[in-house]
Amino acid sequence: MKSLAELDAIRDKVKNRLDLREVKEDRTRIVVGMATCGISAGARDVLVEFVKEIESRGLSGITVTQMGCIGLCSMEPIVEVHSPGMEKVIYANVTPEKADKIIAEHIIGGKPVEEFAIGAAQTGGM
Amino acid sequence: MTELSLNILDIAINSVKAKSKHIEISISEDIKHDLLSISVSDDGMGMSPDKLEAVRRRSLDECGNEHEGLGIPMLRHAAEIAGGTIEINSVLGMGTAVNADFEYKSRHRASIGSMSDTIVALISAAPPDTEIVYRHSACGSEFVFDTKVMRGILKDISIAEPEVLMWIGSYIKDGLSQAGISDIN
Repeated sequence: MKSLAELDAIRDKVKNRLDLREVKEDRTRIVVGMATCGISAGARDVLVEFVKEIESRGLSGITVTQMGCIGLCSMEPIVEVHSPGMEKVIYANVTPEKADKIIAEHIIGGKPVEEFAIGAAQTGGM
Repeated sequence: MTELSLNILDIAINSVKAKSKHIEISISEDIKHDLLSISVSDDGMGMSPDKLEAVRRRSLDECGNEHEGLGIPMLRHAAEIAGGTIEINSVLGMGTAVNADFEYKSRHRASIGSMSDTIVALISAAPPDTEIVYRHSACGSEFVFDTKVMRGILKDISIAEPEVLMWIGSYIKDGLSQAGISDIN
């Protein structure tokens, strides 16, 4: 059985990391559509993949959360990325593989993945 | 939906939308009596008797393009094709409880799928102060996960931090396997 002491150690690690940041910067929010249409289309695995990638790459200041249906059911799973200082970007038909690319190019690289984005993705940067 | 853990997530997201502070998910695998029972109950805003009646009556065919409120008909369909039923009870201002029964061994029963992924996704999706309890029993053994225990350790650190969520995912997988329950069944 995994020990709760491990969670205590993770707590300390996260706490130290958060304390290190002098200014509380705005967090980037990755918002996954989790209405029935999103879940049916695979939103759970997409959300879990984002969490996994953020953890394994040691990224901080990112929150993964959910939203309801935005009326584009046929394009689910839909993911919005809200980065401080950037226009939000809406991604459609997201898969776990696409989620990895969004993390690498948009979240880390600062450049939205235009091929997955719908509407006019703002690529002007920070 | 391809696995029951996705239906469970969908119903539990309804609980989040209903502003629940406490969500309880129970799964009981009673192989001896050929019965799989799943329940999701919450202390959210609940439904009026009229709304409840409409939800009870709504079928998959009636929904047409209107996807809103499809979650319950989908769960009912999954239960009925596997020789089961669902029951919904709700009191305005008190909460809602959804129970679904399945013939465990029915070949039409969907697999439960990954409950660890469902709980991780639900914690992400819910406001940070939502209490989530997940009980899963099979063949006399039981695994219980309670966010309250995790919060007692985490104190001022959010339970939705990715490192914490990944640990919770493996804690649940491990706990289920210790209890002799497969996370993909």
